[in-house]
Amino acid sequence: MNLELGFMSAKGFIAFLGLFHTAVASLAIGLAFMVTFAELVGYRYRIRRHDLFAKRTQLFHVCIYNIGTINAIGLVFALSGLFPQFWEQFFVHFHWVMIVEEFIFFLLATTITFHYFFWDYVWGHKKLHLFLGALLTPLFFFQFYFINAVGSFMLTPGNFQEGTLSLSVGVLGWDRLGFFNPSFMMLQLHRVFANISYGGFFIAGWCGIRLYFHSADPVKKAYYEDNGRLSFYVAFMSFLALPIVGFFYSAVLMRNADEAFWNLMMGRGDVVKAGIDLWWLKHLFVAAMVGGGLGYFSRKAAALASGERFSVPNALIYAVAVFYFIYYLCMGLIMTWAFFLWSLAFAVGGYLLSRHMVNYGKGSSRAPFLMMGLLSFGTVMLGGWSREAARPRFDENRHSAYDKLYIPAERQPYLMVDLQPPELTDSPAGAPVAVVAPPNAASLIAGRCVGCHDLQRVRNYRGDDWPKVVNTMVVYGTKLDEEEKRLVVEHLSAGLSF
Amino acid sequence: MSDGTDSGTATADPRKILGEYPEQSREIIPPADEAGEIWTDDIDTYPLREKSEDPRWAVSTVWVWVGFTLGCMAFVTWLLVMGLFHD
Amino acid sequence: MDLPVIPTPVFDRWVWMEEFTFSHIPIAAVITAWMFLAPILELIGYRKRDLRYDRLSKSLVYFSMILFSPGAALGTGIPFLIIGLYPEFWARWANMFFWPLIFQFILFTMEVLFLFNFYYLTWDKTMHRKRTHIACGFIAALMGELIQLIWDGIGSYMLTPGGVPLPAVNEPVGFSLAGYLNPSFLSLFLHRSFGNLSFTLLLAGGVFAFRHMRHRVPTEKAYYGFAADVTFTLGFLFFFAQPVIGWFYARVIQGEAPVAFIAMMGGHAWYYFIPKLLLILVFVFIAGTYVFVRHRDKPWLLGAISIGLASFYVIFLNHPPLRVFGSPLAWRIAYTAGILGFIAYLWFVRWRGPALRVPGWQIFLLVAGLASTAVFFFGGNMRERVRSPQTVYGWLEKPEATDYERNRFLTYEKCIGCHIRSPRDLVLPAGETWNQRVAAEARRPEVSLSDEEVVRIASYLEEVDK
Repeated sequence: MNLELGFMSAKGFIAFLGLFHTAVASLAIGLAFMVTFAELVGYRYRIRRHDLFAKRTQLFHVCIYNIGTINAIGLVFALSGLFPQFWEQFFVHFHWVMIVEEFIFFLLATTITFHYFFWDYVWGHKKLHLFLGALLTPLFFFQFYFINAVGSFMLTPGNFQEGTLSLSVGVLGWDRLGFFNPSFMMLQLHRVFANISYGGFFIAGWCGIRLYFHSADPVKKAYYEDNGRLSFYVAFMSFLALPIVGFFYSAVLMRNADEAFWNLMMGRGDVVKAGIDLWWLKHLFVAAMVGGGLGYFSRKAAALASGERFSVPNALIYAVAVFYFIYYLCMGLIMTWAFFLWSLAFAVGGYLLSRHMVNYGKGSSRAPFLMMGLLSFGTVMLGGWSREAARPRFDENRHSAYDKLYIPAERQPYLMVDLQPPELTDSPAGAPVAVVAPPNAASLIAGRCVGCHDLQRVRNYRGDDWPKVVNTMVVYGTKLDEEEKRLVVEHLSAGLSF
Repeated sequence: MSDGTDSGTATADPRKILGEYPEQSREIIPPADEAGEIWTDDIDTYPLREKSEDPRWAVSTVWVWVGFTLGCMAFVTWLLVMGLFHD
Repeated sequence: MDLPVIPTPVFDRWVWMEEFTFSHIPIAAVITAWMFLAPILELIGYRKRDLRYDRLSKSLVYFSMILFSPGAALGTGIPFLIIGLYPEFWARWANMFFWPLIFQFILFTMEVLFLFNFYYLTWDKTMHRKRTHIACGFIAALMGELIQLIWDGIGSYMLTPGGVPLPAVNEPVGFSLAGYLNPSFLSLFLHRSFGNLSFTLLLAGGVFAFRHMRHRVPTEKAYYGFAADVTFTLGFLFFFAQPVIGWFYARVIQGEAPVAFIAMMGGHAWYYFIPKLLLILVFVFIAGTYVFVRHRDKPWLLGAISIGLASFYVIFLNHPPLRVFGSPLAWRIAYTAGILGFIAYLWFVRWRGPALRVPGWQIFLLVAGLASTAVFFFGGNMRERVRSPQTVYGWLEKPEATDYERNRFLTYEKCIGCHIRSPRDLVLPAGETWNQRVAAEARRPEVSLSDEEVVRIASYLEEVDK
């Protein structure tokens, strides 16, 4: 039996919390990079408005960071209650990964706090302040690294085997092959570029909104226009890497998570909601963003002649356009022509719309900024949803059963959950005292022996001097009382399974 | 316990230490640097400052924290490398 | 659950658990208390038209904001550690209190929104719309208090479950009202609320006093003196609720978790309790002296403090006499003389106040603040240790429990309380072994001990004697 929410399904609730957290956390990662970049540009060219922009962005970052944190813990609590068996096994499996990730998270929170609140205090040490802010990017990379390894494991557990001996002591709570699973690097690359892109487009979108309200004030208009374009530029450069990384990511999925791969490609399962294939919709958004970005830069290319920064020369725009045309053409050959034609239509539409928006705004970038910000948000949400929805799901008891991909009993037998609580009796003192059920030899072996070595070693042992062996293990530190020792020796001597 | 100067009871009205309470005026008090917007005429001027003008405690704190963070990153990297080879 | 017991590097599991928790709890205590106080001070400043209160209030909120991100990040580490190190406990307890945990995360989001966006960032812009601003502050404070209310409810269940069973993993409970409104929930909430206000303000007062000492600019010096006075005095006044609440809290523990009560009062955790009381004496002495000198022109306040101190007499009267001075009568004379003597001393310093010159008095305030912070640490530590080796009293044992801890629990449960007050009162008669002694006790008709329990209790007592 499982907890039910009543107002929505358990997986729907988790999806909502997960997407909410992703929206904020991914933005935080992008913002950290943008802040450093903007402050660096401001320092390099001695432009105050970029520095001011960086500071205000960091303030916004400080505010949303806490919302992301709280949301993450809400997600953890929700998983604990709604999917207890899965969550406990998974968390114990990757315990040390999560603890180190949490420590990096603390480093990040404190660094962000220092970076913002000490901004004016260390103005004379600007390079030091820049370095402090620059630390955020590798820290976020690290933290993300750990989360993505764990998240990608859920999709591509890879070849698994029991933990092997390391430094003569097995490390519980760490799974080398699970961590360095087939898709972890692709997911890491894909999300790092995506978050920088999302963060930049989000800021640009915000600048676009502010431009609607401050079009009459030349100072504020220049402020939002320049900083928006800076963010847009960085975001678009980062964004251009995504379709390439995404292709290789898909290739990994095809080899290591074929069911998930075909769910995505064919639009099966939860990938389709309300008749809309969300995976394809995301790709159409991406195509629109390619066109939209190129259209914006081509319309603004003339500004390069007047010395404005963060513009892209026409030659580069055409080169990128040709490259992506060929890329999508190849995708059409591999996948379907419908994919190519629809993507082309959206890309061209995005290009034309973007140029029109700048013309209509009399050179103002507000509309393209806003459009790209919204599209970027959409791709992040749709991409995250699709990845989760494509994965083979839990069984009706919410037990983790990833359809041949991961079954705890096969992977690490000591991760199996005994769902029966111990017997309880009242004590004369009034408070009930837990009485643990009599020990079972197989569970003793599975539980106590794996503190130092794996079970295969026990199975491989061909001798028959089990009393001596078990006594030696107790001397080495295994916790077994006399009764438990007797049970274990009898069990092993009889050659029974465990 | 007194050092001869009672806190807050100087000869002048102690409430005037920080100026008048902005009762009737709707003028927005210039915000402190840590929040809000700063729209100045010289928004494009980058105000450089001497290092000696920064409070020492702030600079020391940042240096200590940077050192600590770099050390932690090195440690985590070492953990990852060790984890790559060991299980 | 058959999930493995993950060993931890360098230190034992409980040490890491303690360190993670103690990294977060002081920050949370400071933020919750100061968020509660900030709008009140702001309102006072608004009514008195005194900007000093406004500045003080804003500085408390500003510091809370600085602490918030690291504090929240450390707070997420606590469940991370528990989920991995104590999986069975977490799965069953999070099942039981699923809805409070979800609800508190919603409250947290509201708190952040109000604190950052509606309260702090709009401070200067809304100087002429103070009432709205103060209302936002109160909402943020309310969110903080509600979050503490939730955590205290679900946390207190671990010590006094009140007969409500800890459900199995596959029993979908979601929320147990009886478990939440367990016997010690209200005591813990009140004790921590007043305690947080008291120690954080005493500490703030000490820090402000230190800045008052160091500053050279007259207006700043005067401001910090004002800030030290307000916060330190308030912190001292908030303290007065603590012994009374603490007394009732201890009574509840005595009834609902007797083994934990014994652990605290003479058992293995008493050496947290005694230093805590001594530190309380230190900061009460310093704070009382300060308040009676500084506020000598407010006899109504001093009179109220005197009555508060005198009321502690009732607590001492109801407490079983300690044998520190040899006999119960000596004990009663000692505390009577102590309380009356202290009250007399305070009125004496009030009379002598203007002539008193204590250089560096600000340092004493800082010492008092640090002492009260140490009391806070001791208190939390003790509450967690007295339950050992049970994670949830009477329902779940920690996976790394040793035989020594189990036997100690059994000894407290079976032996202490009937005719002996403290484990240290157990004395082995000459010529006997503990086995013989305990076996003899087991033959009493009113005592129910199995043979195995006799062996375990004797084994523990032998360990203690070594």
